[in-house]
Amino acid sequence: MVMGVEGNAWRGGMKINEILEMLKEPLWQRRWSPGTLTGTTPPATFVGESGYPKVSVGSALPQHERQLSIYEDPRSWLDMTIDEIVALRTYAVLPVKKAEVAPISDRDIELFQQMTMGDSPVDTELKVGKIVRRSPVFNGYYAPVGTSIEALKVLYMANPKVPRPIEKVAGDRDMKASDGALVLYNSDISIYKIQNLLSIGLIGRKRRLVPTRWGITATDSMIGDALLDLIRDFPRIDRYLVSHGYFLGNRFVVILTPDNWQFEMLESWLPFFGRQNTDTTIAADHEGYFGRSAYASNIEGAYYAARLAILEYLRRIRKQAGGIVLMEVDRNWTTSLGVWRVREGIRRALQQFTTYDELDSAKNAALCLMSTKKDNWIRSSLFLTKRQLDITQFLS
Amino acid sequence: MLQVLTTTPETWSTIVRTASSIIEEVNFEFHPDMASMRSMDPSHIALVNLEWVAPSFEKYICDSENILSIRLADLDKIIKRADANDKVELSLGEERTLVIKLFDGYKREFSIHLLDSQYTSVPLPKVTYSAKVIMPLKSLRNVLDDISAVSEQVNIKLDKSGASFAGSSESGKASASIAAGSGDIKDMSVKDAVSATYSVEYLNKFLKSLNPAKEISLEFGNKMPIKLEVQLDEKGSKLQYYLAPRVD
Repeated sequence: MVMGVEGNAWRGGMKINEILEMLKEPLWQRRWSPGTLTGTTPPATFVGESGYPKVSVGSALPQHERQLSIYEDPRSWLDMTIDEIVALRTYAVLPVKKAEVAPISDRDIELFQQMTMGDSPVDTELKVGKIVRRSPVFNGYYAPVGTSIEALKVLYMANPKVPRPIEKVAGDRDMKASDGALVLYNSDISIYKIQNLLSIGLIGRKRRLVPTRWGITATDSMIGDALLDLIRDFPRIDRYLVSHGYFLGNRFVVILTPDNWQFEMLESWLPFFGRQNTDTTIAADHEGYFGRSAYASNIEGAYYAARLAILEYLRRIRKQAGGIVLMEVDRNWTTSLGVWRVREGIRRALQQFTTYDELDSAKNAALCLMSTKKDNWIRSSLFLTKRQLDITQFLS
Repeated sequence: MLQVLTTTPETWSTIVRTASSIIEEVNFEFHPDMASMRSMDPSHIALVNLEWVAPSFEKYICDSENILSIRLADLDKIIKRADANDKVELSLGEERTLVIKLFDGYKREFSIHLLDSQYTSVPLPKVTYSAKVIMPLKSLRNVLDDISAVSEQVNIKLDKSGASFAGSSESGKASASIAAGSGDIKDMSVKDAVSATYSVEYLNKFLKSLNPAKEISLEFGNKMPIKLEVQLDEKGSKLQYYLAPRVD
């Protein structure tokens, strides 16, 4: 809650009292009528998964001018409260139009594509119809989305300012999606922008609309794979590193081990359910040196978001390591806000480490930070129980 | 001069598929008395070693050392084109190429470019093993399939009473045992009882490409690499696979 906080303090680019204003009048309580809707999009693109392959496509219009800079920038949300994030994300109306995922031929969808390419807010005017969904959408995959309204026609769109790398990738229909995503990533285009560009069908050879929920994981996975190709050539770290962070009811502990690349993520919701002292197993997925081909079906999108954050760190220090991520969710996680909090939480946690000489001491230090019983983590993990030795240790 | 001929593509196929399960490029060494290949997987967990003696070939002409760096995918595509009864002949072509002829009446000729990779010799693991068991490959595959239903690693124990296999994970436990003297153990020698744990995925990388009718020997020790070995024929040619253990 924001009560008790100074009204002129700042939260990720907005003043607290500005957020309080948004909370006073939730958008879903406002009366909406068919007609003309004007607004500015950060830009913030959304493609729904419901009804696939005929999906809803739109670009959100935040209703407060100061929302625009942070509406689509989860990097700044870790410093906000859950209520503030909900206010920020739901105080925006989402005009949506139904469209087949391919081929993309509708003029309005093409205009949504052009908006998405922009790197600064784009003014727009639309003819809108009835409300499609009044209540906001909250889920574990993407950030909250506000009231959606039927977009009948885009009447006007200001010329977006398009960064050169985006123009290049969007214009190249011979470039594979993974190559395009990597070009953008290496040009310092944020992962969130790349997700939007992929979802709106502007990356790759076979252009199609990709529901935001899937586009997020596809982007994490593609960029992660490209980073993995690089870090396999780097030397290993020489000690065990442990880092941790706690954000919005989510605790993250990362253990980096002096091994070749391997990765495991464990996720415990036992504190959330008040069962941290039970002997229940917890969800886990892992991969070896060569990565994984099957979808991480136990942890889902959070696995790829965490993996990306670890691989980004390893590329930055130009080292190779094994990574173990322990994630625990407690009752302070009151609303599902999306998988971004895993990516950003681990990115933030990786800013500081404690070093250890032995796996046992690193493991003990890591598990002591969690409230779920140690045995539960150990029973559910492949990498916390046994360590894969190198054949080189035995060569004559 | 290098010219080697096999009466069927089977051994080439086994070698190429097995090696390509852990590595993309290899160095085949042709010596006057044998062909060999030794490669470590990039994660440094496993090592494959081939000793293919000259008598195993229908024709083996090699008057000097030849080290051929080959991209296995290139060779695999050609070996796959061979019919079961095709003879396979390899020789050196012009401009650093390897010429491969497949024939059984119908003759085909391919050439693939050799790689310029630098050759570095990989030593074999220096391990004294205290236990060995020989069993049908099919039986070992079955056991590992059972264990992998719940676990990605297998603990193997060997003592005078036989071999036992076990695995566990958050989803449950699995175990299997084979008594000494049963049909599933062809031979065994145990100085000391041994126990070690290995990745099922990496064991299967080797096993999946082998002819299930063959027998396989397993040698290992406590917290030591396991050595798997199959005889390629009766002439003494063999394919070995070393896998590092997983330890507490």
